[in-house]
Amino acid sequence: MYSEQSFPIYQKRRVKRKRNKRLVGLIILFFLFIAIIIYLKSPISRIAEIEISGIDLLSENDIYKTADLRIGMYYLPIRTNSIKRKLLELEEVKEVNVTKQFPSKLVIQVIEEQPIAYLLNEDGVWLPILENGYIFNGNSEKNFLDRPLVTKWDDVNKIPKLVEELGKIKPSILVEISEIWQSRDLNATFDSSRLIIFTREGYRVHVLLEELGDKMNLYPAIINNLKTKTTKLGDIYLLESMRFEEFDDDNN
Amino acid sequence: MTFKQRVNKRTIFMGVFITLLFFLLIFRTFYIQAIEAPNLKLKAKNIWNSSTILEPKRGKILDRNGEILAYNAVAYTVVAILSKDYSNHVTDPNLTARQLAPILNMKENVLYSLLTKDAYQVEIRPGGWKIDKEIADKIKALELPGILLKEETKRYYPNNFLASHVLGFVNYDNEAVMGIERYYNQLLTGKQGQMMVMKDLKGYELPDGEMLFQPAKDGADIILTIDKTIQQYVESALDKAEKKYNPKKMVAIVVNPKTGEILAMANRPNYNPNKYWGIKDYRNYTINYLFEPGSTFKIITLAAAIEEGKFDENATYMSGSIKVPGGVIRDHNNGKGWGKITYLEGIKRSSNVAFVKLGYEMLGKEKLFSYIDEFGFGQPTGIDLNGESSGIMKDVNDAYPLDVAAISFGQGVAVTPIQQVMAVSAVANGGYLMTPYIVKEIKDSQSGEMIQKKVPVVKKRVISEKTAKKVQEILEEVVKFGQKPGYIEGYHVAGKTGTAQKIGADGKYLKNEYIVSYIGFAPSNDPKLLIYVVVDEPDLNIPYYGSTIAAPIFKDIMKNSLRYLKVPMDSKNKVEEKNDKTFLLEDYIEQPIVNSKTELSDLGLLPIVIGDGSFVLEQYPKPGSKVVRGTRIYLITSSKDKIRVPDFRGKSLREALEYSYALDIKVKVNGNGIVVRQSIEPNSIYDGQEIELILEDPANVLNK
Repeated sequence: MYSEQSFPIYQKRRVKRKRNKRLVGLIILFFLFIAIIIYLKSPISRIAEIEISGIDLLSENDIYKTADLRIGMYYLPIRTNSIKRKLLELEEVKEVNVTKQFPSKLVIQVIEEQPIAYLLNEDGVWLPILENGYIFNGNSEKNFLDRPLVTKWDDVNKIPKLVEELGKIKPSILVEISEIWQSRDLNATFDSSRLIIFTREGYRVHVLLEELGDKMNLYPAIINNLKTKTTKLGDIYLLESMRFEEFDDDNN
Repeated sequence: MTFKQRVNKRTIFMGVFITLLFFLLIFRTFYIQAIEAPNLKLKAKNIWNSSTILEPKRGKILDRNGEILAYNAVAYTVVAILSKDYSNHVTDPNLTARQLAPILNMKENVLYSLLTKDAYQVEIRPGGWKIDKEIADKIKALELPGILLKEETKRYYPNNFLASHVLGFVNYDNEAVMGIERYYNQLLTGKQGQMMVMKDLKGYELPDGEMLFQPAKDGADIILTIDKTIQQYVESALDKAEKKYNPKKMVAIVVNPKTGEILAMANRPNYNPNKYWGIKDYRNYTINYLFEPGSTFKIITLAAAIEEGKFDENATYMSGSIKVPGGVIRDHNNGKGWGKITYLEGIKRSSNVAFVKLGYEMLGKEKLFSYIDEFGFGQPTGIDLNGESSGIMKDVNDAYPLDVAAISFGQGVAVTPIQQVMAVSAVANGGYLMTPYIVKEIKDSQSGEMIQKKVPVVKKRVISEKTAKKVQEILEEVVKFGQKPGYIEGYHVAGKTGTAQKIGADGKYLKNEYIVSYIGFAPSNDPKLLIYVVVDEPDLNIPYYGSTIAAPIFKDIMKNSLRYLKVPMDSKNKVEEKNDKTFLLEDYIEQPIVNSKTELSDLGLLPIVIGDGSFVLEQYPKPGSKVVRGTRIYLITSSKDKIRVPDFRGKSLREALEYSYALDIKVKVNGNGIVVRQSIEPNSIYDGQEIELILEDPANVLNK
């Protein structure tokens, strides 16, 4: 009676199904494995395109080198955060956004620090001084020099202060500044905070570095007031006392 | 009859016959020697003398700074010789027509029918008539048999549309049609000369054969009071307005109110005198367009009331409406008015009632009319141009009270723009009615000697200095009121808008059809410029006033002109507080330079145009760059290989570097401050070399 039970048959069937399932599983696994191998061996798994936008100062090469990137590297192991971290170490980079686009594209959007002025080095090359105080030392010939020009600067330690003060000046006044300089030749007792500014119109403005931002913002008002009185150019002293002296033959 | 008799008879007959012949001979000799002699001698002279007419060269027209506005130059007319008797004639009319058609811009079949005419020769008109050298060179290069180029002269207007109605034009038949060309035609034309020489039978000149040589007297050069730069500002402002509002007509005049010199004068619709056949209207509206001036005329009423001591700015009146025998006059806000207000406020609000009170009630008909007459209305101003109108003024005896009331605020009179300009100039210059003039000097074009020099002419004094000052002050208040139209940074401006309804054919006012205008001068206490702008029926569906349409045109011209003339600012009205935000620069590449320039200036940027093309090829900074008010934008209009070395001298370092970057010129900087020398001469062709700039401290360079 016991033997008449269908249990063994049932069991037998179950084993068979189990075997079938395992087989299917194995086959799927096998194909998956093949697919992975094919994927890994094919160029689809590798970066085919790196799109970089927003770079003026840096070159694409700089980005590649810094972030250890190259066309043809595997797509999967790339960690966007680490690229971001590496790129942010560059002084030129202000913000960066990295995204992976499956299957093989990497998009890097860079926001660079903007030049706030240009510094003339000994070789006659104009180096951008960036908003964070960093002096960019690469090739920047391709840039339109639409910032104030720092023609002589003897005290490099004061560059960050200069940047900070320039940042306070309204953009429309910044446009009017042709040159800014400090120099040992100025007077016998070198005062590195004493600056001279040449404006586009040809005024010579004397101002202290510490007060540069605040005092230069008064420039348009001073000029407007001046122009109602004289058409002559001259020295504008924005020191303890503010005054105007026309250029004449004996003051130089 | 015997033989002898017969012989005798024959002899006598012969004798008589020969004697008769002799008589005939003697008579003929006598006839030739005595009677026909003078005629024959003249004929003979004509054969051995050859006389040539020497054509004078037409004088140039120049602006006040010597910029050429019109000149004569060589032009060519294409002539085809068709007669087979002449060795060089058109052999294949078909091919000739096909080859000429595209160059001359004529239809092939038209050319063909010209070339197959039964004539000795034909001039290929109109396409081949007085063509430029470039086209003539192209035809020469084709080497077509029988096609010749005849050298002639043609009038050129290098600035095309600029001041076209003022200049007028000379057509291809050498007739001066209008404007200065016509008014001064005789002076410009000069006198023909003549040369007579003796020649032998074959046409060779005999030695010492010169009998008469009378050189041609070239036409005089005419120097206008027009300033080309200001005229350009006017033209571009009107072009912009034309595009925006598509008005029927527009008029703009810029004068120096102290002298009466016309600095700019323009009309719309416009035409190009080089292609004069496109002209739509020959009239120079600035001097002969009659219209109701509307509120700008109120200035006259105000001046008269002040002069007569009738005006008290603090006195009050009831605004809204006023009854006059024959009707009711309402203020422009549908007669609502602003309650009881002072006259000063009434004037600021351009209240009609205030002016009816001043003109009709206080001054009265006779006084008002006599002032209007004094200010020059109703008679031509006497400007040196053809076709000036005198305007329409009601006769004082025929004027009804309602007429007088209407006239006091500028309705019911018809004036010309130039009359209005001269009347307000009298207010601006301290009370003198001037005669306007547009020709400054006339000079002999060969010797440069002055033939005529015009000086300002005062017609009469119409109001006192004190009155003029007071009116200026009030007009300045009008501009400041609400800081609306006409307000220009850095300058005190005095001005007044005008909006006049147009009158239809039935004599009634038309709904929604207006003539809007703006008249103003600056700086108001020492006026250098007075500008009047009239726009007839702008195409707008919304209600509009002089303030919304004419005032911006006025402002545009005034602002640019004051800056160009370097008029010192006289007001500190908040230049520095204006928006200081950075924004992104748009793309102007391949846009017409004129538009880009005005758009950039409107944004507060300073466009600098390099080259002489009419489209922007490159721009620096590039599109999308961050810019701020005052940023210089360099627009390059001709290709860089045609670029010439700019004059860096006098420029600041930054400006010099911007230029060199925009032009792709390598520079080396030596020193700092202002450029005083450059290693390659300005204007020479740039060959890629590095240019050294030597700079010096401004204190050593400027103010000298």
